[in-house]
Amino acid sequence: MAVAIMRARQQCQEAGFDVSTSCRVATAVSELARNIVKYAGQGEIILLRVSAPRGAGIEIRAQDQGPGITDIEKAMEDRYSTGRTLGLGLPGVRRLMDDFDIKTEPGAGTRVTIRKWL
Amino acid sequence: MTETAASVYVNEFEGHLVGSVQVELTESVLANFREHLLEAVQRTRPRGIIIDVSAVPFMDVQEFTQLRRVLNMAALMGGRPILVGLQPGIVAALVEMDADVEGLETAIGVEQAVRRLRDSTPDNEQKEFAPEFDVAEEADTIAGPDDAGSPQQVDEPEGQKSV
Ligand SMILES: Nc1ncnc2c1ncn2[C@@H]1O[C@H](COP(=O)(O)OP(=O)(O)OP(=O)(O)O)[C@@H](O)[C@H]1O
Ligand SMILES: [Mg+2]
Repeated sequence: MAVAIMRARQQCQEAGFDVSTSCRVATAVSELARNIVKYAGQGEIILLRVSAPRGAGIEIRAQDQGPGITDIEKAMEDRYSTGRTLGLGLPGVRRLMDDFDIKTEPGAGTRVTIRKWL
Repeated sequence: MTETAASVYVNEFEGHLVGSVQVELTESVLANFREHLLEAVQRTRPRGIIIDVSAVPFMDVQEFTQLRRVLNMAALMGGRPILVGLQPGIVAALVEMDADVEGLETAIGVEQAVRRLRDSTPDNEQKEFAPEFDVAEEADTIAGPDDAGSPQQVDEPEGQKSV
């Protein structure tokens, strides 16, 4: 997990993001990684450089084959948590990033894809 | 000076403790830091406890929360913790994540924290400690909330900062 966060920060800076934006992305990665560890036990984090007509950016996919999320709308609300913590993770990640997409199926797993554009 | 582990230090300065962390706050770094800081608080009975994290390149919300816990512990022991040098990128991310930053005393740098503590110390207590450097020229920098009844330097502008 620490490795994923460090890589995210490095990749961001290599991609041309400023230190502050790199910190934001690393914070988002950390939240997703912590969710995987906490709720799914294991999973993976993939960092990609992406480019689109609008420019270049970085994409992160955090995916696991864990229990999935039954009520995704609730999970995206501020202060909703099934883990007795603050429940600020997912909504915070959405605020920190430009693009946010979550796909989840109960019993099959969760995949969160986030992007930040330069 | 106590070197508690690579890149974690607790020093005494003018009757205060200055704790400095220079690596990422992994669980073991935090545990180590907590142990040595609280031990030093008990031993030296400092008035101020300045925690300098300006050399910490990154801190996520959970690490920040754990660090706050250590500061709260030091406060419970009777010290006055001041967090110093949080990187702007970390601050931006913490605020956007809605992390709990309320009630935390902060300063922009160690010198400003020392100055604030000096300004809020009664004169008779202050004489015991000869200042090792002069920060009087930095009158325009941040100085924080003074304790009630403490001496105020009226010829210098005072700002307030508390995250
Ligand atoms: N990878 C995942 N697998 C299964 N459930 C998840 C996963 N990620 C999040 N969830 C569910 O979504 C809820 C909200 O997640 P969120 O990260 O917003 O809050 P939290 O992890 O509970 O608390 P915090 O992140 O503030 O410590 C979680 O309580 C959990 O029920
Ligand atoms: Mg979470």
